[in-house]
Amino acid sequence: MISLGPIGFAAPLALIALIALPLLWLLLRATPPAPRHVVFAPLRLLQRLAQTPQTPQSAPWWLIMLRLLMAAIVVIALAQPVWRPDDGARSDLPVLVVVDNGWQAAQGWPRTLAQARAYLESANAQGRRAALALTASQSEIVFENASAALARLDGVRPQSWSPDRADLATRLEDALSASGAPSRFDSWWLSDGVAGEGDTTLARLISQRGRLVVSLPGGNDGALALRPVSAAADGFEAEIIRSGTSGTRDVTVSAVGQDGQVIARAPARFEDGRSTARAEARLPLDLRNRLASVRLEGVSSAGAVQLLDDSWQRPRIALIEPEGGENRQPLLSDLHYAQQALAPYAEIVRGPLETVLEEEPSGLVMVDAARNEDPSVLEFVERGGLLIRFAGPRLAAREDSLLPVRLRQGGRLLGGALNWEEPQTIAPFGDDSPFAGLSISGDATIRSQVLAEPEADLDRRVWARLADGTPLVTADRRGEGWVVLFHITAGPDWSGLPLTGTFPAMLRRVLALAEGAGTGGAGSEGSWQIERMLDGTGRLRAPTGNESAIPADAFDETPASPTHPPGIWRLGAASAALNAVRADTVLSPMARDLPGALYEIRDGVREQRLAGPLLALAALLLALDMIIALAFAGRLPGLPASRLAGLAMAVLIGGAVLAPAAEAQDTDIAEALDRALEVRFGYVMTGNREVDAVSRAGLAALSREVTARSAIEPEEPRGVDLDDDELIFFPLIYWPVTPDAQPVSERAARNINTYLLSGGMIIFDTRDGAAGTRGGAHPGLERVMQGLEIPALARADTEHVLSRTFYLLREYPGRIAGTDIWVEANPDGAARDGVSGVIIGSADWAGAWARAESGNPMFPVEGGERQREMSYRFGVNLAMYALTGNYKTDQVHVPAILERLGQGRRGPPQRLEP
Amino acid sequence: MTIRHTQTLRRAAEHAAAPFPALLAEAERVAASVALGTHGRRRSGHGETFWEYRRHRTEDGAQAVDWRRSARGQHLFVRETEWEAANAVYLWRDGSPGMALASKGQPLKKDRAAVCLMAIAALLSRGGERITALGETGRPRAGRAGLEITARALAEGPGEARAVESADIARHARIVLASDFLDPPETWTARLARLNASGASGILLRIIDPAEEDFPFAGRTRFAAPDNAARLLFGRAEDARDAYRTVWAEHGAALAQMARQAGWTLLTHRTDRPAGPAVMALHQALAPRAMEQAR
Repeated sequence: MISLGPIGFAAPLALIALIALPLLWLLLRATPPAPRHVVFAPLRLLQRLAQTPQTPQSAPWWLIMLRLLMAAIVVIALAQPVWRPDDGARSDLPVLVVVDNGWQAAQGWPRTLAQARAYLESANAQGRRAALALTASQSEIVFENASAALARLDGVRPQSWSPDRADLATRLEDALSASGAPSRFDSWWLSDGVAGEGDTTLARLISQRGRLVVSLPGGNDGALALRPVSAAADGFEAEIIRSGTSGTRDVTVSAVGQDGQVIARAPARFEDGRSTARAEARLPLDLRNRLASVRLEGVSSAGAVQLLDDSWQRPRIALIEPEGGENRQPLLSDLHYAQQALAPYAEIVRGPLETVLEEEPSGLVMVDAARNEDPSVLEFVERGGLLIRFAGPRLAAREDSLLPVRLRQGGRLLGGALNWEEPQTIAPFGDDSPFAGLSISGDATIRSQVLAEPEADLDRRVWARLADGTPLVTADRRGEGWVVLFHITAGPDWSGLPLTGTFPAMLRRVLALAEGAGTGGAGSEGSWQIERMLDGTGRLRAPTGNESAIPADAFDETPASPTHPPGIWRLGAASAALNAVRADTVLSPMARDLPGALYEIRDGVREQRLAGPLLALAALLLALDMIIALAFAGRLPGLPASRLAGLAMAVLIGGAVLAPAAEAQDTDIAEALDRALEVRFGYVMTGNREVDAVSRAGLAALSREVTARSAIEPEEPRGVDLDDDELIFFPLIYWPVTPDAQPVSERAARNINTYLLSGGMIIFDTRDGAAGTRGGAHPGLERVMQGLEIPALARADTEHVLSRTFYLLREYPGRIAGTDIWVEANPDGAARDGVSGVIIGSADWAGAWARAESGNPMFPVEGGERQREMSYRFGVNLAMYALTGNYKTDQVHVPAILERLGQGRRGPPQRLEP
Repeated sequence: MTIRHTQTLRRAAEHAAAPFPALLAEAERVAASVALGTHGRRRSGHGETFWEYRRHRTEDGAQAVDWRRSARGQHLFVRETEWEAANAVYLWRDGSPGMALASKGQPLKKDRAAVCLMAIAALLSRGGERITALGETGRPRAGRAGLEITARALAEGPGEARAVESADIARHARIVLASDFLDPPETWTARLARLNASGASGILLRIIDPAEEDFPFAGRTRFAAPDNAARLLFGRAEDARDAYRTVWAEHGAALAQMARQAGWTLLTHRTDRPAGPAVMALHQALAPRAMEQAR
């Protein structure tokens, strides 16, 4: 191999072929491009011409250059160039590639894999044998053909446990002692950069047999891990650790629910020089209970995931109901106060003792009235349950065995009419108390309590005291469970505590004892079986079947390993999470003084073989050359002149369009002002020139009639482009619908719906006198209506406002008489104040209205001029309806209208005019 | 074999016939646009169309009286019909290999010639003229059948030059020859002289492909004759453009000269122009001739 700067050539002799390039130059110059072949009828005329010089037009210089370049590229590609060749790899010793594939390596895995592949490919190219050794997988270590090692590398995935390098050292030693193993080899160790046990052993073992290069991950590929999250009072706290300490780095912790939804996110920042960062998330308890896992965002590694298990779930607390019920007001009942205080933090079960025990609660609440000395309660507590008791008159009268302390007979009464002592307040909680840190409300005064018998070890069992030192809450272990006694009632009879916020806070702290019952509740017998395992990239998936069970009593001490992978483990109904990262996990950077090791950083640069890309480039050039040759021979349509001209035109037009954009804006405003300041009717341009002309002429004639007859003085009508025009300026829009009308575009539909919603009116006219009433739906209308929000329609009767907004009409004729029109069935609901936004008919009104320039009607009308006049009247009514709305429905005018209608009925129809 | 062979033949026939309906349709369209505004002879004569009623004269026989009209008035009337002369028109469309060429995007010269001739045939046929394809469909025929036979021959016939050289035509027939007239003018002088000898006269419709007139070629180009008999290589075709155009103009002038001397009308039509005007010109060139003859 020879090198030219960063490029080396594996087969440099091939470069000799470059000498042939000048020869090629001469050859290419001498060969003209193939002539264009034309069959030409007047060839005889052409033959009369003096021959033009036959000198072959030689190929243009740039084409020759292109072809020479192509040849040069092929020659260079054949010389097998390598970008930044690895000069150190010149020995022919076998190669050992050690890859750390624990979860620490998952973050930078693609680069690690690429680097390993580069080493193996290089070994393959040099014909060296190679072996692949994995620190987190129990794979065989064999020196074999490098291509076989490459194939094995494809199957390597990061695992969800930590690498075990000591184990690898053992396995490697075994492999090396086997027959056929080389005594010396070159080694690369693609490390994850995290120190572990056995680093030194492994490094020494390898470096004794040859060169060892330890490759450390680059800056952003350093391992990150999430330590077990701890529940805080109002959310959770997470600690994140990293292997390096340099640079600041922001990470985000997200809490994911059981359905995969992110419930909370919390940012954290590694300060420069620190290897830990903290994140805190505030989360209501009921949300917190739904968490399934906490993850580091953007880090796909098993170490960046903390699975949460039963201990995060709400404890189930049973309230024992007194036998025969409580004969008390609900608001004074002890149980009510207990339940209200516990409900936010626990799932509550109520019922008689036997019933609730079947629900397998993790805690029992026993108020005084529900005192029960059933042995099942004792059994429940001894199996690890939590019993919360409240005192009361019955307990004061007689103590029983299920108490953390012995009680004195009779209670203690503080304050009151016949008592000199003042009601006592609660003393601040001691630091060793579970209630430590809770603030005490000043209203929490104690008027009565039961008193504990002074005993030697009483202090140990007291969790809270009154200001005078007498115990208020005592607790003691009974078997594996706890008995907690509040020396007061759960209701407000004896104290003000249940009425304050301190009470639920205290109960919540007590519940923590029950929460622990989740894992512990499964007992110490049996063994945990894996349910779902975490893979190296931090995703849950089905277990592989290689896992073995964990004895119940050893679960907490079991580290993640190939046989006990992280994941969700199950024992009976209980589930527990085994996580890759434990509270004591540290990520210390790998030692830089491993015996005999050279270090390098994986910076993404590795040797690249250029032959493939070069040949591809040459093939591309060849294709280009063929296209050019075809163009020269005239076999390409429209190339190059017309095509280039088209391109140039496109560029020019593009520039021309961009340039007047500013002016267009001004005209837009003028246009909008013009439209907004003048009343004018609009018609929808159907694209059919004839129909549009009729619409225009019809509306123009109607505008003149309306001006002549009423106070409305509309300007010339205007065609409307539904896609682009702003419709809101038009009081009414006439829409002739042809049978072949196409559905409106989505944009137009939005435009129209907005127009209708904001009070516009559209008159659909199918112009055939039939559709809508008989013979099924009008095909064009049906298509047009598809995207529009047209409300329910009803036939307009003669009572409709349209029949009396200006003229009193009995029907609504156009060119065709006797057709129905349809209006919104119930327009009152819309924002239009009872005015129908849609009028659908088929009478061809525009045709009846339309007049040519000369003033003569453009089309004959069925019923003669009388009907034309009626259609104009309808048009005037329409305009009035569009502009005045429901004015004429006003009851004020009813008598006058009735009177006139009455006259009309008796007299000839002409008398209907106002 | 037979079935297979029949199928093959039939497919070939269908393939060959495919352009015919299209050509016919185009011809009909062109003819329709030209027919508007034309009329018959505009004088009374033998014909079927009513022309006028005139007063009965003594020289008219009793059988000439139109009794239906006469019964409505005091006088006798004679019903006169419009004079409609039927003449024989011979159409010929050149079928030489050069006619089967076209620039990109243009119709073949052959097809355009056929369209023009078919259109004029339809027009003539409507006017009662008898028409035929020269040298291919025998005697001139009138009516729809004549048009059908002639049109098919015009669209698909061989169009050999022999048909012109040894034409078997009625005397004083009118002839329309559509060709690119790329043969030397002398050849055509001889041919027309033969035709003139039989008292025929007519129109030369010269069909030109735009490339033949404009010579838009550039660069290294090899020109081949349509029958592939000769080839000509130009290193730079654009250098020959001016010279070619001169030659082309000379050829055109020689043709015009030849036609004038023979007393024929020469119409020139480029295939990149619509066929309508060409047919209109043809029609007009034929019409005065007819009037002249009638007198």
